[in-house]
Amino acid sequence: MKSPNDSPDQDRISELLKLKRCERPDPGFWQRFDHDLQRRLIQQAVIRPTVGERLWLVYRGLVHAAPVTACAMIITGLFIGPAFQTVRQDGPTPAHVAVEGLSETDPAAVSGLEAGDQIALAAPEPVAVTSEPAPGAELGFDSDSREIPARLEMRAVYRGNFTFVSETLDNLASSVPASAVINY
Amino acid sequence: MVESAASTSAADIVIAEEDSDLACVERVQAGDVAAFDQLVRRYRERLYSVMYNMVGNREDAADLTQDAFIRAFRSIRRFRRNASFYTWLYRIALNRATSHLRRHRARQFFSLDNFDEEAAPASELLGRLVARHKTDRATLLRELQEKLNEAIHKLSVKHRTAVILHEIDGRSHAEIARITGTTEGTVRSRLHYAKQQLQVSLQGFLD
Repeated sequence: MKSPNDSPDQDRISELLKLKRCERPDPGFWQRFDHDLQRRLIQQAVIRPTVGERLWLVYRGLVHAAPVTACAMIITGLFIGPAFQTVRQDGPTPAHVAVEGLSETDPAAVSGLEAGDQIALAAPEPVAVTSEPAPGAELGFDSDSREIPARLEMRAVYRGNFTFVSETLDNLASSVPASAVINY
Repeated sequence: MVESAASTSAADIVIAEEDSDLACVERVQAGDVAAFDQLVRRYRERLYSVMYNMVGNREDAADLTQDAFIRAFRSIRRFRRNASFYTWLYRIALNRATSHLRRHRARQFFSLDNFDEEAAPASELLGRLVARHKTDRATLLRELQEKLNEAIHKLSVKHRTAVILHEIDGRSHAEIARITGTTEGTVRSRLHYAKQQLQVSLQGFLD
C-alpha cells in the first residue's frame, strides 16, 4: 500500500493509521448487530409496500368506498333533507304584524310598511315560473306605481328572514328616484 | 519475482471473492433470502470499521452499517454485473455516511471501540514513542487512538474516505476510485494531501 511519493513522515502516518485496524467492538456486539439487522429487515419487508401496491390499495379503497358513499348520500337526501327543510319553513316566528294574503300585485301592502316593521307570511306562496319574464325580473322600478316587483323572488330566497327583505325593499323604495330604472 | 507471485495470488483471491459474491447475489435475486445472510457475514466487519472511522461513533456506525445492508437488500433486484457487489455496497454505505455527517455536522461525539493491544504489531515506531512519552505501551496506544481519531475528523469527508479505505480497510487506489467514482490519480492526490494534514495534526505527539 506504500506509494512511491510517500516521504518517511508519511510512512510513519501510514504505520500509525494501520493501528486502527486493531480496534474491536465489545464481545456481544455482533450478536446484537445481527439481531437488530434481522428485525429491521423483517420490518421493512412487512411494512413497506411498493409504489404499485400502494396505488392498488388506494384504488381498492375507492372502489369499496363508492357504494357506501352513494348510500350515505341517498339516506341523507331521503331523511335528513326534508327534515332540514321543515325546520327552515317553521323557522320564522309569528310576527307582531301578520300580513294575510299578501299579493304580489298589491303595491299598497308593501309601500305601507315602515322600515323595521316585522312581517311574517302566514303561508309562503310559491314563486310562479312562467315562460314570460315576471314583472320586474330585471329588478326594475316602475316610475308611477313605485312597485317593487322583485319582492317575490327575494321573498322566495329569504323565506327565513323576511324582516331583512322588508327593510331592504322599503329602503330601496324610498331612496331611488321615481324615474330611475335599474337593470342588473 | 516473489512479489509478482504474491500480487497474482491476491488478485486471484479477489476474483474468487467477487465470483462468490455474484453467486450469492443471483441466489437472492432468485428469491433465496438466506443467501443475503452470507453477504452480510462476509462484509459486516469491514463495512462497520469503515463506518466507525468515518463517523467516530460506534452506535451511529452500527446503525449506518445496518442501513446500508437494508438498502442493498431492498434494491438488490436492480444490481447489475457491471460492478462488484462490495463496490456497490460500499458506495451505498458511504453515501449514507456522508449525508449523516452533513446532517449532524454540529453534533459530533466520539465513542470508541476497544483497542486490541495484542493485535497491535510491535513496531520500532511504537517503541520509540513509548520511550519518548515515558509511559507504558497500553497507555500510549489509548492516547494514540484518541489523537488519531481527532486528526482523522479534522479531514474533509473526501480526504477522510480516501485515508480510511486505503490505510485502514486496505483497498487499492483502483478499488477506491471505483467506489468513490473518481480516477486513481485523484485518489493518490487526496491520500497525499490527507497524510500531510494528519502529520500536521499529530506533530506534537510524534516529535
